[in-house]
Amino acid sequence: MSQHNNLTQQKREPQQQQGRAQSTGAPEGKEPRSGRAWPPLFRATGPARGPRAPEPRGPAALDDEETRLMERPSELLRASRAWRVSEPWRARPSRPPLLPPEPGRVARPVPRAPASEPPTAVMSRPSEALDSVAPSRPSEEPRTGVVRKVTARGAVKRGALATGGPVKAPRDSGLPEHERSQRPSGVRRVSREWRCLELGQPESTRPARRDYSRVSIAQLSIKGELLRHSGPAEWLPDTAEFVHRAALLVAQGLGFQRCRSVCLQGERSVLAVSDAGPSTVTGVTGPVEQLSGVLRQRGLK
Amino acid sequence: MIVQRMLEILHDVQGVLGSFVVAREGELLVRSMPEQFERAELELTASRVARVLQCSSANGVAPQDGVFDFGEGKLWVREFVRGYLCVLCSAGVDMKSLRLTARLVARGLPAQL
Repeated sequence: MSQHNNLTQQKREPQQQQGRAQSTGAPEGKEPRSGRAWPPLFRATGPARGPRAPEPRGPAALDDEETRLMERPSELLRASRAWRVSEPWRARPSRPPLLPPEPGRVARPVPRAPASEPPTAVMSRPSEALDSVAPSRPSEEPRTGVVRKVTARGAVKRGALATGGPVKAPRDSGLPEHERSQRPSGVRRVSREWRCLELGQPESTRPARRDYSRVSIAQLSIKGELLRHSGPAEWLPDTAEFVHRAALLVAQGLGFQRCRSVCLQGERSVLAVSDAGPSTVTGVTGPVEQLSGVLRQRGLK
Repeated sequence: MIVQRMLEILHDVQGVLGSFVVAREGELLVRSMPEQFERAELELTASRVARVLQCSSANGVAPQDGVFDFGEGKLWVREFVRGYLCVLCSAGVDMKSLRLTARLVARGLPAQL
């Protein structure tokens, strides 16, 4: 362990000394204290940070390495290949010129390499790459930004359509089993209802709504004219008018000015007639269970 | 006389002003009301009350309990075998006590008045 640390420290030492030399403004090319020559990689060639000054061009600016390469063409060729491999963006084949579409001709899309194909660093023959591009299919159209509507029939099995047999509707279409399997038209009906798309989630069972269809409401004016009426009790408007007038007479006979409301509770049904304003009378009738609030408000429950 | 005593039980409930008994046909049978209510006027009122209840019965709502709210007062109606027991009370009466007491009195009223 300690030996490994010593080796690591020896490797780091020249770098630290080089950094110290740069920071202290030591002259370039000064050898370290150990007297060992710097390898070319660690040789200081300029400031480590900051904008790099443009290197001068021309034969005078060539260093020793370039001069050596110029003298030996074989090494120059090898170095050039290595340089092209290390910079793959230079090796990409140039795209065919994208000309504007002429009238009557559809612009060809720019071919793309499939995702599974590994990127090639050096393309030896760009013409081969152009030849390998598949011809443009009719489905490949230039992207115009138009969104196409996808029909639901695409998901139906081809076998069922080919045989002409009945097509099974999905289980989540809200139809019973026998109706899903035996559809005479053979066309699957797409369910338009909202449903949970998460698999395995049971459909929420909503509590059954109360059946208020048996409750009748009649709204009358103070003169007995029918304003509104809803419900199955057709006798309610006349009864409400009569009860309202008779209750007013009862109130006056007992020394009161008016009768605000009359609530009569039977064994199963309720009749309530009350003033709903200065000029409106409302009559309500219905089952006791559905008008329990009215009974509680009148003090009958 | 027993009927009169039973109607006076209702006065134990705070807010009760008086009571009377009406036959199903509208006839005034017994009354325990303050003196300010004349008999003729009360007979007419009793017949109107019976008519309202008969109208309701004719339309399928045979009333067992009923309330006439006059704002400043109330008229509580309870059905019994012979007819209807009517209790006149103020607006601030305890409806729960009145309901229980009226049911007991109506149950104790004899069939033959």
